[in-house]
Amino acid sequence: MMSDRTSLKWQWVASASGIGFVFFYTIFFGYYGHNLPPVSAALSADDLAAFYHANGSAILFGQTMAAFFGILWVPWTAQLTVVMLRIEGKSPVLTWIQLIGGILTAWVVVFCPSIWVTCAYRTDIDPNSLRALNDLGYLMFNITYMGTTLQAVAAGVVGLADRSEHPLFPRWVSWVAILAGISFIPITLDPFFKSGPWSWNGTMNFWAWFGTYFAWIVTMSWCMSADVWRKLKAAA
Amino acid sequence: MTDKASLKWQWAAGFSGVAFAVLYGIFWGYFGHNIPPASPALSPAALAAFYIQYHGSILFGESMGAFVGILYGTWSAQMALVMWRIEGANPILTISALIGGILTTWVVVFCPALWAAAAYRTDIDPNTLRTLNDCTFILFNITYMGTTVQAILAGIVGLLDKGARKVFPAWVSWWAILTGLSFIPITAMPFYTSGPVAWNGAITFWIGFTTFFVWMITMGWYMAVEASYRLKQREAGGARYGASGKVAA
Repeated sequence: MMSDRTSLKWQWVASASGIGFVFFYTIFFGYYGHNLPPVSAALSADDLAAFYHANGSAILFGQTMAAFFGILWVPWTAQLTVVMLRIEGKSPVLTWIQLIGGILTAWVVVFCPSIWVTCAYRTDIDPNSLRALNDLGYLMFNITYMGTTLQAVAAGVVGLADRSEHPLFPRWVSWVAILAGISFIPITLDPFFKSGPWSWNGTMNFWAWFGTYFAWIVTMSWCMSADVWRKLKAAA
Repeated sequence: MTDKASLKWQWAAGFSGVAFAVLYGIFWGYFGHNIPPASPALSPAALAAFYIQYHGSILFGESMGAFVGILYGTWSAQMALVMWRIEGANPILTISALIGGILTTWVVVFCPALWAAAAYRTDIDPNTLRTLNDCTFILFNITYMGTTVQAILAGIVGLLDKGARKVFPAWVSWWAILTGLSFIPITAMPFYTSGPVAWNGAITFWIGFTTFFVWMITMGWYMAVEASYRLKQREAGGARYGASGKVAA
């Protein structure tokens, strides 16, 4: 069987992969992918094609690397699962719900970039096809947020239910998770607006998925990494 | 987390199967104009006219379909918990069923997002629209094996339950197995744009959805009933029982 110290080292890597995800995804999906914020949904097919022409190489690079680094959501989810199993105990239904949500979110952050890679792949793509594919990428990325919402809310609920002497997550961290999960709900409005705060690049709906998730991942990663670090020191 | 708190969440997760059936029927089914779906035999122009005519309703139905679809995931989580308790150590059937449940959750959440993308622009080129629509119905349907695996294994494990108080009556487990098998003709779907096996046909749509919804409602109901029963036992301070006769949560 694997030794405690070896296991804890892998757990530390998995915990820190949340911060790694945030860092690399912001650089590649966000900066190179030209998603800070995303291009407007109101652009005509020709204007969107011009945007892809102007920024095609950066988008191709950014989204390909986003698909690469997006997988960091998996080890992070796995560590959150291990931690929640410990807290929730027998019959860990919220842990399983979190895991299912995490797997679906991992699909989104890895596979939607490949749709945008497809958009940037051919410089002579028909503008109407380009617009349909680009729409598909953003709508699949966005309105399927409920998996991520359940992951965040379940993690927060279990964090709050921790009755141990030194809870792994401070209460405010659990509340950040719950609030992040709930903050995604207005994203269901995305399909009904091509501009304004509720469109996918709008002040409300963009910052909901880019801003609040950021706070949730960074805080929970930090707590999980600190917890493993303490255990590693104790095992020394 | 206390046993009682956990059992309340378990009740909700079990019941979410019933909630899924009702809500998905309303949003994806009724508002999405999928009872039954538009015929695959429609020309691109006729399909575009259909999407334009029901534009707002389809966009609403599919957005909300993606929203409520996640309840399939919560129901699958409780299913895995219940199966794991029955199956005991080395729960290979449970894990296989869970994987099937996760893949099915992807389908019921993400295909609506694809249909929303198809409905997003009223000036979408009709040929592009038809391709997107085709792609989504094919993804939605011929990938049924994940759901079949989940249904058949849930039925088998339900029948193998040797506990004092079985979670599922035998007929519910047999219905689950029947449901899993009822999807198999859907593999013929890509070869037909009309008739019983087409995605709006008697076998693929009417039989497939009927067996599916009855399965979710019955298994969801009995899982919620089981969680309720265990909760009452806790509150009465009664003996703890386990599905396979062993003491469990």
